[in-house]
Amino acid sequence: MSLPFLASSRTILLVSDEALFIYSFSVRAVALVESVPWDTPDFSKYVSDVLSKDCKGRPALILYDMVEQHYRKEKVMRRGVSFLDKSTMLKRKLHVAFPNYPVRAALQLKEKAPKTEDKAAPADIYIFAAVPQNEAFKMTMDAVQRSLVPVVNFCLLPIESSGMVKALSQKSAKKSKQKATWSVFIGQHRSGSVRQVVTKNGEIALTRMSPIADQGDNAEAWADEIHQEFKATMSYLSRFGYDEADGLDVTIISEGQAAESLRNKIEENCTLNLMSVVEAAKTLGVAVGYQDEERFADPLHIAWIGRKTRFALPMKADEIDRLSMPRKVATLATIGLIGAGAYFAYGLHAGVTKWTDYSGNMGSLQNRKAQLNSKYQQEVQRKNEMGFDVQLVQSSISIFDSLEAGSVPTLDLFKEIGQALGRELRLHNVKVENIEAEVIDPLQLLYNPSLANGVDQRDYELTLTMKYPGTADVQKGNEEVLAFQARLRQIMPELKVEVTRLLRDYEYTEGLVVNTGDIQQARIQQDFVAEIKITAMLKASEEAGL
Amino acid sequence: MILDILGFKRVAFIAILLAVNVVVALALYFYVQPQSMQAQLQLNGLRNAVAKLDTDISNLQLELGQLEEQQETFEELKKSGFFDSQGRRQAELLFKEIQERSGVDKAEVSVSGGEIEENEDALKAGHKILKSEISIRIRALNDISVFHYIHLVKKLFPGHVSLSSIELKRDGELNETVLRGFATGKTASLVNADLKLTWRTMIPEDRVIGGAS
Repeated sequence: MSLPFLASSRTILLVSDEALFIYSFSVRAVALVESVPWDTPDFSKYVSDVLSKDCKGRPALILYDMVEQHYRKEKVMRRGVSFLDKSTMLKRKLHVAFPNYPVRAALQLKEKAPKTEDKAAPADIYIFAAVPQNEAFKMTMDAVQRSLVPVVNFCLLPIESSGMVKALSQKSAKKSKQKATWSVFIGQHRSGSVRQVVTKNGEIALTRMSPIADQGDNAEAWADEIHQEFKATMSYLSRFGYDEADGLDVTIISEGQAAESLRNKIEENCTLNLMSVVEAAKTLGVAVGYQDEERFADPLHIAWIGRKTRFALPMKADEIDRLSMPRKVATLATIGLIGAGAYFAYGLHAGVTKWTDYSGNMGSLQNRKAQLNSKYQQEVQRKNEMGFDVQLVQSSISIFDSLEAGSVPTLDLFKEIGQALGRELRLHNVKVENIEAEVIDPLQLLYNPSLANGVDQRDYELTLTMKYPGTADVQKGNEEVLAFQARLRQIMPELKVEVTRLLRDYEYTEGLVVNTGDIQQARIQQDFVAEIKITAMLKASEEAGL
Repeated sequence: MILDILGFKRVAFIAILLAVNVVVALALYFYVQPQSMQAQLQLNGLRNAVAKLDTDISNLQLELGQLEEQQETFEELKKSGFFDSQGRRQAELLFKEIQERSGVDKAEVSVSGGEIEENEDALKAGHKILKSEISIRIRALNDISVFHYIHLVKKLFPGHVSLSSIELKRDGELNETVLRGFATGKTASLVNADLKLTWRTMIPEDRVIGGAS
């Protein structure tokens, strides 16, 4: 199935007055497949068979090249017309211009409307084109419908070939180094008619189709007829405002003696290019392939128009849309469905591949799991064979360790204190307290980390109290207490040892008697009390949790 | 009408394409993808199970290694009465023995009623912590006897005993009167000690007496 927009090969139906010419186009060659006269019996069926069989059902481009073609130059107002309204307005204007020709279209020219003094609204210039729905048109459409081939478009040959005339003119201008405003292209078709296309500044200005007697065997007579037609065209051009100073390129498809004869006849001031269809194709850079008659121009038109993907003036008509739209939609739907199918197929393939991978991996993992399960059971059995409650063993040891970690090592502490005391000092009172550390709310700590620094984290506290008689030398006593503190610090470097009270202080619980009359006899009757505090944090207090 | 324009072959081709698309899409979205997702979930589950088994085996092996070491400690704990239910009669006898062996002159012991203390580790093993507070007031000639007393309590008492607080106070001096008393066979208590101890053992849940809390 061919895609009508992208096909590199097409069937081109050239609708002429004499017959329907069926061409096969490819980028390498143009070949006439069949010319079917309009009076052929069972025309539609015959053409349909040619299209579907000989032309292998390739998309068909219909080129209209009959004498009856209607053109009109029209101004279309630009101001105050929105983009959407523009197309409606054009349709309406086309309808008004050609009410009896339903096959019609409009082509905007680059040419601008001349400025007028009355400040008329700016306008664009269009060529309105229309063709009649004659028998040839109906028979062609009927044949195309029967053949079921996709319809690329329905176009007018002169309009689509005006670009070719411009291109030929530009190529010859390179040689002559003179740029002409006007270009004339003259070529005879196989039907015998001569098609003339005149462009001004590259845009179509005039086209003529003149039937002439095919005098291929008489070059002089052929040249005379062509010359006459050229002169007629020149007389039209003078009415169109042609001036010699504008420059004129004339390209005539001819060969051999006929070309020489024509060269002698044309006396107008112009750049005359006489070339065969193969030479012209070569100049344009298109391929027409082998042509048995190089004097006919239709293969050149076919080669030029056949390669187009965008057409200058696709004609609009219900008959064309009725055929081409469903086929375009069907083609797009086919492309879409093939694309979607490819996507789904890829997804399916990827999904199945994944699924297979997972299943494969699952198999090996299940084997591994079975092996591990067996190993696990062996270990559990080994554990059970040990003959005791593992959880109880672990929990009890953990709890006992926690309890031990939370206990105050009293006897060890007393032993170390005893070492630090020495032989001279004696303690009056020893107090040990297990103090639970202050717990800070973690949320508070999060907002104020400095709280942690100020918290008393003692876990146990030892208070050592020493009593000295009231007659003791305070300074000496204090020295002894401080020395005791130093020894404790040395023996218990990990603990915090502080003298909290020296001899100078009195217990507030003690009574106080002071003789103030005679300073020499003043004596303090009460004992002196010194106090040292040892604080420590149990290493595993947090673990203990008790 | 549409057959006239497109032809039977093309319409049939599009219909077949459409049908193939529908079938493939249905197969993809309603069978293969759900199955694939399910297989993936199963595979992930299996991977997790294998990883968990791996970890469990490693843990078990580690545990078994540790257990062999812990078994000895456990037996010692068992022997030391850590799983006893703090029999009061046994405690009474022990305190008497400790007093005699430590050499303290007098020891007034009071043991509070047992309380159940919640502990997560104990719970895992189906046990509870039984806690009793013990207060002891000791009178002794010297602090060494007191320390000996504490040492014996920790050593002989079943379960775990921790010292919450201790206050050791010298009440008298070793003077001539006291020494003369010794000669005549009189004893003297020069040191006073107040001890607060916490006694903990671990008992099976089924041995918890209903009201204990």
